[in-house]
Amino acid sequence: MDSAKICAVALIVIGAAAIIKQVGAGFSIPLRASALMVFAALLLISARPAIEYLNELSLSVGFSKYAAVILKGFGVALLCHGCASVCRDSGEATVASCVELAGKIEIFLLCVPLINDLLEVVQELIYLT
Amino acid sequence: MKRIFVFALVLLFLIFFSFSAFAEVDDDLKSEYEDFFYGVEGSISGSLPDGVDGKDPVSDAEALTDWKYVFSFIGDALGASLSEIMPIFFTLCGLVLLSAAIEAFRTSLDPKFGDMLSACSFFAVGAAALTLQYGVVASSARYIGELCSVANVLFPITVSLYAAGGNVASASVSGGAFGIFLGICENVLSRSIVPFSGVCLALAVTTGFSASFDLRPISGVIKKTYTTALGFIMMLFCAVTAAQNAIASGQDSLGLRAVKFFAGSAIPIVGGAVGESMKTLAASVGILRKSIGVCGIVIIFLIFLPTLFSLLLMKTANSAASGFAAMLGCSREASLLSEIGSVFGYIAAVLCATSLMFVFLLALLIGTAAVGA
Repeated sequence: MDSAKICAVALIVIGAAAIIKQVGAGFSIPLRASALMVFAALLLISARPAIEYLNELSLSVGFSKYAAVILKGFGVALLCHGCASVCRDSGEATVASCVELAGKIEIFLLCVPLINDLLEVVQELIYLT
Repeated sequence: MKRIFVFALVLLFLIFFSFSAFAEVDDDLKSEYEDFFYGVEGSISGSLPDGVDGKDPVSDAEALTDWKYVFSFIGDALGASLSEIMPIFFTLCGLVLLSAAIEAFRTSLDPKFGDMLSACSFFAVGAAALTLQYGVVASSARYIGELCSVANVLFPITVSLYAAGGNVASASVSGGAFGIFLGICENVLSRSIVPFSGVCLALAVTTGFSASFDLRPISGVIKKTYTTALGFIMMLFCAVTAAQNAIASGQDSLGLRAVKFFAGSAIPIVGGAVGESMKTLAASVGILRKSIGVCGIVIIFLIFLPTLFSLLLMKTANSAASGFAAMLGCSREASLLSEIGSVFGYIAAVLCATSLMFVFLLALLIGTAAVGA
């Protein structure tokens, strides 16, 4: 992972934000949103080999279904957390709360098949009698 | 001189007019053994050595009691259980590792997202553990249920034999009460273990919904109560076994003491009671040997051992995965896996207890039939 590139992009964004504030305050939100997307893309590119390795490992051992849920949940949490932070920095706390709520609901929806599997096993155990 | 002459005459008489004495397999044993052999399930009869065909108990006994075959069967049973359990163990460890890695990023996220991610990883580990291990629980529950069904059938047959024998009063005092007690214990244990396991697992899973919603104390109370009840039943079992005279206790020996020590340490919860019953078990095996021969005894153990190995190895795998999770700081996953491991321990204990009671019931039946005949 090239942390030097990410640090350089972060410093450039901070410098651009300071300049754009003087030009017009209305450009700061699109700048923050663009910075978030650039950082997300850089993180995905950097983490891609690790994700592919984990995917191959989980397929070979046989826990890909469960590992996929954990990784997707983590991805949703990261994305929603970043977006909510941008919203708060822009003074939109309500939008930030909605984004966080949507993220939590999505993570819960990812867990629903697992909860279903658990309840099915417990039900079958009780029906074994 | 006269005495020497008389002694020489007696010796000559013994040499020329002696008769040979040897043990012979009678036709009754052959037919009973053949009926027993053809009733054995295909998967077990397929694993018997070549040449064992149920026709001749003597040659079959030689093949089945060969130490090479016994050790190879135990090795194959262990190997089969390990090949089934090791992938499950590594799957659980892999998921726990992933959960621990995600947990490390928790501090950089919002606390509420962190809680949701913890719940997500808990459900993933729980779903993997229960769905992958359900097969072993179901097969063990079926084994215990079938033992109980056969035991329920044995009792009326034994009662009929008592009635046919004529001396109902003394026969029922000597063996009937013991048989009734064994039948009741068998039914109580076999019908209680599966609901108990389901309740413990359901309570363990509910902690995943919220860290503050913890039902483990209730699960602890239920487990303590069941352990007390199991201990009480086994205490009564030991007392009744010592007091009864339908199956005479065998003699103490070094081998029996070694088996008693092994049973006490390897079998959870009821190991002590099972160890104490080894003398009566040895006597029961002696009674069974007269009817179905050594081959039948070996085949009964071949049916019992793979299920016991699976349960004990699964318990160990869950305990090891729980320790691994605790080491990585995943406390909720560790407690869930530890709970699943303890449930397997209870199932193994009930399996050993019901199998022991079944052998005693079988010995009672065969002993009664032999007396009646």
